[in-house]
Amino acid sequence: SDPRERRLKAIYDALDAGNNKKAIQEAEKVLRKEAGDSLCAKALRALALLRSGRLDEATAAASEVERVDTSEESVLQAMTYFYKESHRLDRIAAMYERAVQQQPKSEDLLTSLFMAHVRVLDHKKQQLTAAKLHRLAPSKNPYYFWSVMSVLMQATECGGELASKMLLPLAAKMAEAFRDRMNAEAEVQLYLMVLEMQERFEDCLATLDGPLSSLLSPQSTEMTRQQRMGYLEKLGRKQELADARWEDLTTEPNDWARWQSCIQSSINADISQGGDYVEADPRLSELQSRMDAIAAEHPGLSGPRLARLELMRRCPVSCRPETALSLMRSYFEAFASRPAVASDLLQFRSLLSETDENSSPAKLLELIRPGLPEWPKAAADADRQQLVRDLTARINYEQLSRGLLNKPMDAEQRNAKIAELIQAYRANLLDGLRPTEVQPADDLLLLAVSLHYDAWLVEDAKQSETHLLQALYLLDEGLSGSPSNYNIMLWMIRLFIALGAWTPASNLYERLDVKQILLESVGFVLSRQVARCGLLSQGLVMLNNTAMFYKNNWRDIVEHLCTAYRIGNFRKVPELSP
Amino acid sequence: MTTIRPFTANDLFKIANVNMDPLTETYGLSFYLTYLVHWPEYFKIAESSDGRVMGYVMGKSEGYNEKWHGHVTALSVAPEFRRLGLAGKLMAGLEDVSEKKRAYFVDLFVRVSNDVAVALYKKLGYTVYRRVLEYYSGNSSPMFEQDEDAFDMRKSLSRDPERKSMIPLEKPVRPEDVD
Repeated sequence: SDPRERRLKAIYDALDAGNNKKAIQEAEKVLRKEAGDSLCAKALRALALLRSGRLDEATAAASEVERVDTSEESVLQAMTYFYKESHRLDRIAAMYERAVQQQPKSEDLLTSLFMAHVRVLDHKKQQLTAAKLHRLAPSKNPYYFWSVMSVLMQATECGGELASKMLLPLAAKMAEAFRDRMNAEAEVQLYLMVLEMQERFEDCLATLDGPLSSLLSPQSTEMTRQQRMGYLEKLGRKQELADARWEDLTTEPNDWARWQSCIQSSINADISQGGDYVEADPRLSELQSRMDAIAAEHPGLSGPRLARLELMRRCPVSCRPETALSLMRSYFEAFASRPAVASDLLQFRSLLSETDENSSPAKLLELIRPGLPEWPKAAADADRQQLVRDLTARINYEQLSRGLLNKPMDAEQRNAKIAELIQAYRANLLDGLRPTEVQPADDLLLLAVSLHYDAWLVEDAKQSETHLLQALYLLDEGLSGSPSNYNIMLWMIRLFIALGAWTPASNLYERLDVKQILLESVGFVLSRQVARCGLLSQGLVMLNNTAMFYKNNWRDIVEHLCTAYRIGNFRKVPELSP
Repeated sequence: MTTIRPFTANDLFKIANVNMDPLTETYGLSFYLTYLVHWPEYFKIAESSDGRVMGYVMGKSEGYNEKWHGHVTALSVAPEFRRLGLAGKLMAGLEDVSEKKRAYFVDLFVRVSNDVAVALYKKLGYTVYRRVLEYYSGNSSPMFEQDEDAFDMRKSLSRDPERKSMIPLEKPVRPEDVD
């Protein structure tokens, strides 16, 4: 093979292997032999220098390449990597502009130029480049629709009259001019996006029902059904919308969003026809009966029953605390052995009464209490599934109790409760769990820890560390029983930080293996505490790691913007754009 | 009462309670975004009535001719929401999309030691098609220092009524042999 090719391949191989030093050597070999003619070798050398951290030399090497206008694909690609990795996305566009001037009829170069504009969110230049592509290849639909999408993004960016009077009508006209030539679902969706921004919801519905609907795929029926209902809502066609939503509900009677939509629709539709609901309104009781019928048809489903409470929340005039209490009681009794029942009910605590004893939170707990199973005890021959169900019921009760009752406990009550919880926790530890599994009784431990934490917050400084330490001893015990319980670890981090103990907190954080997006959603538990804890050099290591994630983000995300255009998933473009 | 809806980019900020579970892998941003852009129809999230994330499923479709199939890349339910049948519900959704795309079967990889997951999939109608040696490479977290084998489990869809795609292989394979 061509010796030149071979020498270049050696550079590529070294770069791919991450051996930047070798890549630089190989590149310099080429440059010596070819008296500096190989622009590609120069570009690859610049890239290798960058990756080695030799920034000044890398920049100098890159400038040499930039001085020469080229449309050589290998050079452009190498420099694209260079600019991406040095966070100079704008230079990619400038480079391809020059290349296109040399080869104005190259679809590949123009496409690369288009993508370069996408990376820097230059929608105007996107539009111009896409237009050129369309003129070159008028039979290729994507180029045309890239133009339309670019106009839409300009409208999104500037808003106001410029969008509504100029840009959106332009995008609409462009899409409509191509209507007979549309041949992909993506193009129909793009057209809908334009119509939605113009608030032409009648036309949206007409599109979904018209000939273009044949381009929509079977796997999109769910999405288009949602879209259709969205349009009906915007058009204020309340009765149609209500009917559509109730029909939707019958296929998924446990879907919470569908219940919320139905309740919303029913209230709106009725009110718009006949004024606000009043107490003992026949329309209201009709609605309640309808809901009860669905609940009766599906006795194992929690959705319909929770929905009755949701109706009360949405429609306060229908809410009588005694009814709320009764519903909450029967909900608990029906589903107590399932997880998350406490949190299901706690969102409706405001429906109970603070003043009337008979429909108060305390009353609810009093009525539920007798029906609870006894505290289980894990024994060798015990039915494990039943044990977990019983434990769950008791845990739900304790969590509900904690969430409903506002008044703080006195020290004696609290200590008794803590002792009860810990005793139950210790009596229900299961054998033979894998290290990746969590003990079902852990939530009891965490409740006890919360009580210690409450005490620490309230009591004065002299006594406070006792509670903090008690909590940590318990958590430590819990962690040996459940080495994977991240809630225990998060609690420990929090409490160690409260003591100013960075090192154990940091060790636990390592154990959590916080990385990638979790650095954003979880990392703050430690990163916000660096200055407070004073161990600055250790803290700096942690912060540097986190910073790397943020630094490289935007560069990664824009590539997916490019992909969205390339494969025609236009809906994702605004979703991924800032 | 769960809401199951399409996963959006911003949902990535809300999945910590799911991903901190040791058996749930947290991939790089690009991995999730690739699935979001290429296969949004497979990427669903489940939320509780009080707005917390319960779990999600991420998948794709690939292959040619009789190997055209749906694939489960990630299925995860937060520990506090297990035993509610959510995993089965999310899988049913993925199978439904795969049926609509006229796939022949659905497949997935699972650690051989993850008996809870293996039992769940068997209950949903999946069988072990083959064993893939050292599919999971060891990593830095203390739980998974060694390489581990995977089961490739499959479930035929209506386009494969004779269930040819589920006939198990006799010998294990290596990751390179997986196409």
